[in-house]
Amino acid sequence: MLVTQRKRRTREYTGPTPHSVAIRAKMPSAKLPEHILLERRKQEDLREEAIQITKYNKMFDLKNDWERTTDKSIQKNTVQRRVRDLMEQSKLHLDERRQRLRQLLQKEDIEYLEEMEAKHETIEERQKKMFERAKELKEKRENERLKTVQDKLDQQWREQCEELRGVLSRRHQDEVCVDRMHQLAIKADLERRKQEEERMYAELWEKDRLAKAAREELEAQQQIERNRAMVDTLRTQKASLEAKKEEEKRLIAEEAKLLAEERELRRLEETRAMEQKRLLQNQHKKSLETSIKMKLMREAKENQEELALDMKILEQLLEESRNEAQEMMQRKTQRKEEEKKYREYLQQQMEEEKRREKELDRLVDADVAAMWAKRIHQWKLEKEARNRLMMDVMETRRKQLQEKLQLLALEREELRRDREEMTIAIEEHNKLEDERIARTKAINKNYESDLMAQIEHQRGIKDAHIQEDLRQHEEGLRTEAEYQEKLKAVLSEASSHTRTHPMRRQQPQFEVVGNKLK
Amino acid sequence: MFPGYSDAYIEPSSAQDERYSFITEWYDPQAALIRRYQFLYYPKDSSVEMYDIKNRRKFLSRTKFDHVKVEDLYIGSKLSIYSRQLTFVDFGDRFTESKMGNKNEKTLAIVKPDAVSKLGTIINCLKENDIQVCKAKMVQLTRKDAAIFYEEHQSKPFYNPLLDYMTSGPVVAMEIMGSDAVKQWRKLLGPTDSNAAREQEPTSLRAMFGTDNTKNAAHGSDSATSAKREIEFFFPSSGKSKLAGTAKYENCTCCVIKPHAVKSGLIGDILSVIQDAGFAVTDLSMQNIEKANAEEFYEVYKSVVAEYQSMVNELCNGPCVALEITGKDQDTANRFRELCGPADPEIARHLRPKTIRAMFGKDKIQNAVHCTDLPDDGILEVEYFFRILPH
Repeated sequence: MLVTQRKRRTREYTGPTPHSVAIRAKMPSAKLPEHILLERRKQEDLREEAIQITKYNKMFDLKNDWERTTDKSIQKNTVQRRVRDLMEQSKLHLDERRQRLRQLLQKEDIEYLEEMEAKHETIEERQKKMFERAKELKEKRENERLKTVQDKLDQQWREQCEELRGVLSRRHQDEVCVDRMHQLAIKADLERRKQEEERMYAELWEKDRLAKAAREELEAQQQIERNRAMVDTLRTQKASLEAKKEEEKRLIAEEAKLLAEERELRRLEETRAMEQKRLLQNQHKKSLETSIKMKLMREAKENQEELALDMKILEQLLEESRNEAQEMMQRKTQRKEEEKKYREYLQQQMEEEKRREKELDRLVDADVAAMWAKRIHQWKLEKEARNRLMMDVMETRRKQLQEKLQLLALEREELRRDREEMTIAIEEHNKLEDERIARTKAINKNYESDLMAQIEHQRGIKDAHIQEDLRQHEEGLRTEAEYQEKLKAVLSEASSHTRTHPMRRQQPQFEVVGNKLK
Repeated sequence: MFPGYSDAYIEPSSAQDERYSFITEWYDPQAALIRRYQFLYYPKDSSVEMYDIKNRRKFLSRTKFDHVKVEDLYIGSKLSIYSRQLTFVDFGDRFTESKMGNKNEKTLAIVKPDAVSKLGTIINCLKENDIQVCKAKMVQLTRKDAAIFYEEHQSKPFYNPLLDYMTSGPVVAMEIMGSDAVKQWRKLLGPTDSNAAREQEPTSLRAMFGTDNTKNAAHGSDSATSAKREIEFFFPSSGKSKLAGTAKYENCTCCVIKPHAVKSGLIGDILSVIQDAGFAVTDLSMQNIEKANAEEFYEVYKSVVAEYQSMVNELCNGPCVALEITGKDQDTANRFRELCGPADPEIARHLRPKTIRAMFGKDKIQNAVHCTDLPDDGILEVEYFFRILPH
């Protein structure tokens, strides 16, 4: 970058020519020269003022606080004082009340104590009270006595007044008559009722008797019925028992039959086995015979055939020898040779044949033997099967028999049991019957004894009645005698009217007027 | 004596023992907290065991309390155990619920204005039928209250006379409890119309105390659900009742039937004696007093009578019934005091055999009733029970 191109920040301005430069004039400051000073002063003034305000505030806060606390404490103190005053007052009031209460209670206590003491009476009072009581009692007694005197006097007058007595006795008689009539009516009524009752009882008794008779009849009927039923059951039981016996017998016979059958079966089997054996032997023999015959036949046939062949050959040879004599010798030798050879061959052949025969025989034998063996085997199997079947049949038969036997035994057992039960039942029944009879007898006896006792009792009561009547009569006689005696004595003695009351003896107030009893 | 201490030998608890379990609450004044406990009661030897549910540990080992009876255990009852007043809030297990649930049916009984003077007889009648009074309160119904209460009869012709009658004087509302209580109470009441009742069941309450169809002596809920609603009306579960009290605060004296008398069912007898003697019961409320309140109430007796502490304990030993007794003149307090008789029932029996304490008291502490001793204190005590305690 070039120097000229740089933008200046100073007040210098370069001109168009080198070294031409202008400096821009500097403007004088807007602030006063002493502005810092002034500023400072102003700040200080402000600070001073703030301090003043704070101080002032603080002071007034203090004052306020003081005033408030003082006010509060004053108020509190006032309240406290007043409360204390009130409390004091109430306490005083309370104390005063307590005092009054105490006085009241004490006073009352004392009063109560006095009262309690006052309740205990003194001796004088008691004496006075007793005197009063005695006086009161005396008065009461006197009053009572006067009242009795009055009553007695009244009675006396009543007894002595003839007119009154007449009227009274009449009235009394009337009353007695009326009562008597009433009594009679009642008695009649009673009698009637009694009769009615008796009639009713008689009716009842009659009814009862009839009912009893009917019941007895019914019972007898029932008894007969029962007996009949019993007899029937016994009869049926007997019949069943007999049937059972029959059945048993039949079973035994059957068993015997079965056993015989079994025996027969076994015998049959044995014979069959024997026959079979014989048959088998026969067959064997026959087969052997046939085989021998066949063998012989074959042998004979073979021999014949051989002979025929030989003959043929010989004829041929003879013919040839006849034809040619010369040749005969040759041929003879040849033939001899040939014959020799042939014989040898024949020999050989025969040997072979024999061997083959033997072989064949052997083979045939083996074949036959095998066949036989097979057949025997088959027979054996068949026989075994038959045997087994037979055995099975026998077994089942035996089982059946056994079961039957068991059943029989069971039945027999059952029969036995039934019989026992039956006998027990019969015994029981007999026992019950006996008991019933005994009971009836006992009841009858009891009833009899009761009746006897009742009769005895009735008799005793009657005796007692008689005794009582006698005694009463005697007593009546005695009382009568006593009464008469007493009457006599009283009549002979002075009358009770002569006796006077002690009070009247002192002051005779009343004059008794009237006739003495004689 | 620390909790759980007892001289008597207590059998160790075993699973075989029959026991009732409840959930109880206790307001702890120190911590200002409501604490919950499981409360176990063994009817065999009437012993109590408590278990702290939150801390999961035993709070009170099995201890004998002779004054705790099975009848006291029901939901809503209050019981003090070692000066802690426990409120029963729930059943603890199924067994207790099934055993107690149906036995403790609750219903509402209202003694109407004309029968309030026969309150004693009515309560006695309840007691004879094994029905227990759990809550009771005398209230003055306003027309508005009565209208809310008898909402369902709005269209009936007897609605207006009924409201007039119900607002004509104070009524006594009672929450009563017993087996099949709804039915039992209605049976005791007899037919709705008193005239009909006199013909059909002359021994029923309405026959004896009612006059006609409307003025029929008493009210009973007709079903368990309506009983619940009506109980909620008179005894709100929030504890704040809006119904006006009936206390007059003049010519009056205060009588408190003590817990022991309430427990042995003597409320009816005592009320009968008071009413027969010519005193008017102008306010009544059944309350459970806490110890602090009892102390406050008996303040005057502190240091005056020796039995102060026992008196306080007795007063917070269960529900008590506070009464305002009103007479004709200023002398009511003294006359009523004479009716109550000497504080010691022994003396009373000797000197004043006709007085309440002589008849119903046991000893100097359990002397059936507390009555205002100082004539001037009558209003104070009445105010304490009927104005200060409810708030």
